Amino acid sequence: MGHYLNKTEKGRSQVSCDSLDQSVLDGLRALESSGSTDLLNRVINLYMSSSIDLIHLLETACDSGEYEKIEQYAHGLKSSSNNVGARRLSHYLGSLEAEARNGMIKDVNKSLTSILHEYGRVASALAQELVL
Amino acid sequence: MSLSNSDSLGNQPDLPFFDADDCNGAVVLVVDDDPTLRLLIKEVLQQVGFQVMEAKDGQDAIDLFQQIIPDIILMDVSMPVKNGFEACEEIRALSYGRYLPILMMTGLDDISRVKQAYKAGATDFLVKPINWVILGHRVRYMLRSARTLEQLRESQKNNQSLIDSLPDTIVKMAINGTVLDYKAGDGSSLKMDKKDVVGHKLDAFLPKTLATELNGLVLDVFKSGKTASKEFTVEFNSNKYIYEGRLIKIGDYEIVCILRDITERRRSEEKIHYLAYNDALTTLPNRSFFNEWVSNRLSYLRKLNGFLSVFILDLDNFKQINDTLGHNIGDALLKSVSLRLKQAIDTVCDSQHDCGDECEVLLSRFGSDEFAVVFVHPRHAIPVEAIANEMHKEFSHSVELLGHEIFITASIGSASFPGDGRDLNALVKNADTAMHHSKRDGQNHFRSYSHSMSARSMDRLTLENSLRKALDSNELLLHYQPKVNLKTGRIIGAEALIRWQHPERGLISPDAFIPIAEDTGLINSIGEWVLEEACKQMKQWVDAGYDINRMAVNFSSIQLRQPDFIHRIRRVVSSVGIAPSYLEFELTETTIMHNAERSISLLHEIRDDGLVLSVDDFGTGYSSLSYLKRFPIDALKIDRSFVQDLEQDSDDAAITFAIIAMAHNLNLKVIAEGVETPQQLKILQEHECDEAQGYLFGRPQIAIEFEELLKKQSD
Repeated sequence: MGHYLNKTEKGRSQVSCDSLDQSVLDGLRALESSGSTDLLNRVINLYMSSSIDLIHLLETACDSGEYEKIEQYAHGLKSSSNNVGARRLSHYLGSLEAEARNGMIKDVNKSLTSILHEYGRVASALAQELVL
Repeated sequence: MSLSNSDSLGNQPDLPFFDADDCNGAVVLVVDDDPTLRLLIKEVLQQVGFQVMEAKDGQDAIDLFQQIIPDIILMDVSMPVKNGFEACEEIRALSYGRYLPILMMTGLDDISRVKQAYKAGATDFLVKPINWVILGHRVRYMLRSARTLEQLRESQKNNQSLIDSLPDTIVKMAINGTVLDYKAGDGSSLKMDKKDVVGHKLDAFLPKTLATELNGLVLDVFKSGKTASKEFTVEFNSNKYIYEGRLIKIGDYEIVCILRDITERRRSEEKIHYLAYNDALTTLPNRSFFNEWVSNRLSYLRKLNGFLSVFILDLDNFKQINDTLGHNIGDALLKSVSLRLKQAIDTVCDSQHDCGDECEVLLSRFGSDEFAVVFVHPRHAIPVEAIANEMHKEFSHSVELLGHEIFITASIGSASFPGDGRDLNALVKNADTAMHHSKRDGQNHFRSYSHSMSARSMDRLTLENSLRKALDSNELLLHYQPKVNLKTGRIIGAEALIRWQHPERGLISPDAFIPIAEDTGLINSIGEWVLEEACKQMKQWVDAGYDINRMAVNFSSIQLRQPDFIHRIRRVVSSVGIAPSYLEFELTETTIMHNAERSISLLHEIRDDGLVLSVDDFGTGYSSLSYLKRFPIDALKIDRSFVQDLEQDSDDAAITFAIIAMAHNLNLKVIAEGVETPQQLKILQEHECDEAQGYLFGRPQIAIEFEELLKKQSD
């Protein structure tokens, strides 16, 4: 998955380049131009509102050490994040999901911190993608 | 192909076997807990014409499925409440869910989930992250193949039910005769277990002969490629079965054989044929068979210059035996006659040594008491006299049937080809004429046809013959003519008059057929029928409350000659249950005067029973009133010829008045016949004539019409 991190896109800010896979967003734009009005905005808004809930649920699960829930929320957030091209966030969530499934999380706090930081970057990058 | 939706979706090439129309309006159920993904899938699929419904987890999907019955489901695996595997399994168990296409959506990071998805009944899976460009095509393809499968299932089901409904045994075979598939037919004698048949050769389970024949056909059909059809007769379990087999080549290596058990059908066909050509009572060939047989022989005899003779044989007085001893005896007698005729034919054939195999004989029954015998010889004329003699010999002794000693004779006539006729109709007609002539000669006679049997006598013979049948065929009927009391002017009764409604000649007058009936003795049974019919009718009218008291019936002198005449009358009257005083017997002067002594005692007996006696046609015969004094009679009927002359004030009128006066003097009532005018009526009333009949009061008419008169009178 490392190659995603090195990928750069024309004319995008460094932040968004690192956190968002522009090809995924281009795919959404293509759908928009073929008939789905305002699709990109709707997807970003929907992602933002649904992911924030999942982030809170994931934090709570990590605090209480409930592995099953950690696995479930990490998985949900992972697929969801993929839809908006948040590859690195998905990657972090995928690792946590796998560790939780295997019943052995090396460092919950570290993982959660990386996820929260990356989520913040994704959120601000997506905010920049919004067409106003 | 211009598909605006798919064109604009991306740069992917059009897939020519997809038609955008075939998924327009199809309903896709998207099941995922991630609203973002649902939104994306919905957008993509709506763009290509699907309707999209959403469910947020497995349970939600199951509930929604039962409400909307989608055409296809896209289902996520990991979901809260109920995951995708469980939901998939549950939907598969629902009636509409069995064949529904379900696409499971899962990441490729866990291959065990893919396996699990198929196990749960998923049709296929979609890899996450979803390729939006491909998605529409993917779903459409799934839907299309699901529909094709559905059609295939439907058509297989139809084919199967079609095959199951066939009554035939169906065997699919390979070229070497090994059975590949088998279906037993309905009620077939070829019912076997499928497992005993499939994988075996035909001779392992079919009767040898049938298997051999079928194998031969199988090879023929493989070689020619043409459908073959054949009938097989097979014996097994000591029964005979008939099959109709059809063999059809399917593809290059298979043959389907359809075997239909037509045993029953054949049997009924044979039975129908037998019934159509044989007489059920005697089992002899019937007239149809006779006609075909003779026509067939005549066609080659004409070329060979051969000979053929038709004998028609009619039993004498068979009807009397049938009537007096019953149909059982009659039937038994007909059977015995058929045996006697066979015997006679055997004797003839034995005695004609030179006839050898060339001679052919047919005995058949034409119906009722009529039989026909045909002799055919290619070279020799048929010795008709000798043959008739031989047949008559068989009638020279009596037979005992059901305890009755019965003696019967037969009248025989013959006609021979080529002299007496060249075709079937002429020969039968002439043999019939000859038979009727022999019947007139007396009983037990034989005549061969000769051209002198004239058309005129033929006519009478025909009439005589049909008169014999008239009673049985209900062709005789009674008309009723009103009798009126001249003092009151009221109808007091009726005279019953016989009529013959001939099926071809129409209404025949009694003058034309009563003499024949008297000549042939048929008058006895006809007269008895008239009496019975008139009694029944009278009883009906009396019971209905009509104010009449007289039913007049005519009798012939032949009837009076029957030794048991009085008993026959009493039997009829008592069986109908009518008082004898309602009956008036009309006898002509001639009838009474014939054997006057016997008449006197007979008439006394009749009168003692309470019947009224009147003399019909008075004035036309002896007209001897003083002589009539000796007879116990009650009334005179003045003949119509006198009545007609009344107005002319002629001698006849004077005689009429004298008759009325003298009759009254002897205490006899006087009845005038043939009254047609009011003048005639007036004159008769002036001379105190008691009763009258005639067109002035009513012509002879059928019972219903007569009853109308009675109704009018009672009103």
